[in-house]
Amino acid sequence: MNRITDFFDRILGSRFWALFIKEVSQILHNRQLLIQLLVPPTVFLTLFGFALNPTFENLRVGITDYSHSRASREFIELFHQTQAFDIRKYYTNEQDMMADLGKGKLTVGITIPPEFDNDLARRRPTTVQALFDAVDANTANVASGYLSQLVSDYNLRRLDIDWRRQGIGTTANNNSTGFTTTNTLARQISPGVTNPALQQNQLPHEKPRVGRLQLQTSVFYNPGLESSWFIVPGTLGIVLTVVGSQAAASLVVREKEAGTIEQLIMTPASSTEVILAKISPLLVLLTFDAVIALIVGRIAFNLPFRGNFLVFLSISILYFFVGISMGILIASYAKSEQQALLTTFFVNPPLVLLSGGNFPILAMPTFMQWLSYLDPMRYFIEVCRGVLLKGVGLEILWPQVVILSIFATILMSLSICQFRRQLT
Amino acid sequence: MAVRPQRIIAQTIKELTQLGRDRLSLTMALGLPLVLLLLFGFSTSLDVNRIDIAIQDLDNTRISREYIATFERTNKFHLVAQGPGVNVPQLLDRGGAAAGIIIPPEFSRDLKRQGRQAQVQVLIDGTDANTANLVRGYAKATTNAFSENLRSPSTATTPVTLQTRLWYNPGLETLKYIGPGALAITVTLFPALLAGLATAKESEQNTITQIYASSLTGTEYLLGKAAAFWLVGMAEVLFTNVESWIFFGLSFAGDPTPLIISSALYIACIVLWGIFLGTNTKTQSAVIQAVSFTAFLLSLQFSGYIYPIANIPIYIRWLAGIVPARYYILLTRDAYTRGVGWMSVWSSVLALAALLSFFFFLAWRRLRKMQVEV
Repeated sequence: MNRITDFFDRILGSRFWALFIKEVSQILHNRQLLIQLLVPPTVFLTLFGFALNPTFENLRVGITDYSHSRASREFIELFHQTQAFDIRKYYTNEQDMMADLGKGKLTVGITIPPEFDNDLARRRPTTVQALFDAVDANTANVASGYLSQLVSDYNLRRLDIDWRRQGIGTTANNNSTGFTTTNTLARQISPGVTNPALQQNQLPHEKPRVGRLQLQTSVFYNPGLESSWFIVPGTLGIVLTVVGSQAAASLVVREKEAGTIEQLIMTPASSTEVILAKISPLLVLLTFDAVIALIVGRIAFNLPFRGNFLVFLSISILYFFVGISMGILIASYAKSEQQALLTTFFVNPPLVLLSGGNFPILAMPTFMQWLSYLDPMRYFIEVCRGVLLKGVGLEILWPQVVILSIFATILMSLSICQFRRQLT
Repeated sequence: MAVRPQRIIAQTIKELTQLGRDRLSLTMALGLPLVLLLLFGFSTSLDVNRIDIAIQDLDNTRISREYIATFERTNKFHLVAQGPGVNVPQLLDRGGAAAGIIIPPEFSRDLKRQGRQAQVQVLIDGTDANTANLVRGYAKATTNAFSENLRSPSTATTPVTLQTRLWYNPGLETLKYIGPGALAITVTLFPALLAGLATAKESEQNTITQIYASSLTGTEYLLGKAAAFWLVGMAEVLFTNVESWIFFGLSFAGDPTPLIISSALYIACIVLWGIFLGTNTKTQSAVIQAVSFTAFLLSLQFSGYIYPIANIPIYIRWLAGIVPARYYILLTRDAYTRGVGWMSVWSSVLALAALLSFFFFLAWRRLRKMQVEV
């Protein structure tokens, strides 16, 4: 009992505690800073979570159908079956469609040739033309991927039907019940059959038929493929870093500009104590921010929290430590508030871009991927996604923790050094 | 209220001199966009081209190896682990692979046997929904190709072949799309920031009262300040355009006049926005945050730079409508890739002009209030 009160006495009586109280009351007096720290992160988190959706749906399709046949309508019907495509307009000639494509009204224009039906009926390969507006290379790429998947599904289905027909045909033949057999065979022995595989299979005794290959896909961690589950943890990292480093920089610089920093040196407190006391209230506020963000994520986006809350909290605090030290380091080099702020403003965008918060790191060129290893935010976002979505703990996230600790130590000692050098 | 050009010019010169004295800020204002442009251009893409996959092959026969080879042959996948002992779920947990494929022991037997379906399990890391979607598509396409190949080695069987033509950007170079967008985003940041800081500084250091005391009117003050940062912004536009020509290989695809005119409008827009933010906040740190969030994050995410605007839910899509970057991006893209010219972009130029007058009105109203009537 005595030892506990002793412990509290020591903390409460320490210089650090006195400085901490000073910083807290200073921040509490600064209403604008409080608002700055608490409101924008929450607002932007919600906004981005709702708005940013990289999945491509309702890609605008225009169709020129010269064939006007049952087969072509069947083919077009495929586009209705997926969410990915949205047929905007049917054209009577290709020129009109191309003009609309040029104006950016369509993502893809599809031309079905007049001989489509005929070719299919004769088992001749036929060609459908797809024109993409490739100004947006990414969308065009995704659209062309979807489209080839659609066509390949269609082909497989057609081939399947053919196989089955032949299958029925041959069994029917074995059972020697005439009519259907002749019918199917008649349909197959057409002048257009050049396909060796098909021809081969018309011989009943030679059936190198292979079973179908089925893909069973299961999506881990995010079975509904909610894009907000990717965006929100990323934005959490981004927003809190931006806010934290800027607030820290401006707090330190302002004290420098106002000349009150000399008064702080006059106190018996060491520069480490001064800096730590400056950081702690911000740490508390940012942690508070993170918790609010998690609650918002939970309510607005149904974001899961699968991991251990304490693990998340302690790694977050470690990371905020990194972000704040970055701000303080910048501030200790800057001569004016404007310089400090401009520098943080310059440092933040690359950190944001390379972090993988909004854009997958895998999509970057190799060189950028290497650069991203130097970005502490990258590790924090990995931790966020790991704990929130994957529900993993320290046993998997320890490398991130080690790296973040290294960042924290280096940045902190650098800024304390620089601080000391400037003041003495 | 008469506007006297001489005073505006004087005010502009004063601002520029002030900026010129702060070397660090000036170099940052002109140099940093160049660095940022490269970063933006090279790092923002949603198109994953090298997917790390792990394959647990419990079958380990010729056919299963052939199946794995099909994955290797597509340049989309990169095999990180392969063999019967691969622990796919653990790799996904660690983030070591974006997807895992499990080939069951009876794979080749089922494939050979009639009327049986061979099953292959694909486990995908869904944390990034977009990438997961792409992976699923690629995996399916690869498997389709494999099974089509199994049935009939000759490609002539496929009933419908797709002939794909990509317009405007036949090589599907992401840079041709990202580059112009990056250009638009990069020039957004600093003019707004500098203008906002300069305005906030004036009230922070109370030099604004000297302006009240002078005979300068609110409109003149606003125009003079805006002109100074507009010049800085236009210099930035020039530099970044030259840079993107050098590094991204962008050159005008058509008539450049829409881009030139809209650049002037756009820079004016964001400078006025910066001044508006500056007059509304009391401290420089608040300005910088306001600019970070509105000019940087909002322009980055709501302009259609990466994330399609069409995907934004309707009830917040209007927000994209008042983000000037959204229109400017259309213009840079048209100028550098599509090259259709005035025909297709006049509405965006009009929208920029409308936003410009709106922002001017906002800033002017604010300054008029601050002005002491003589």
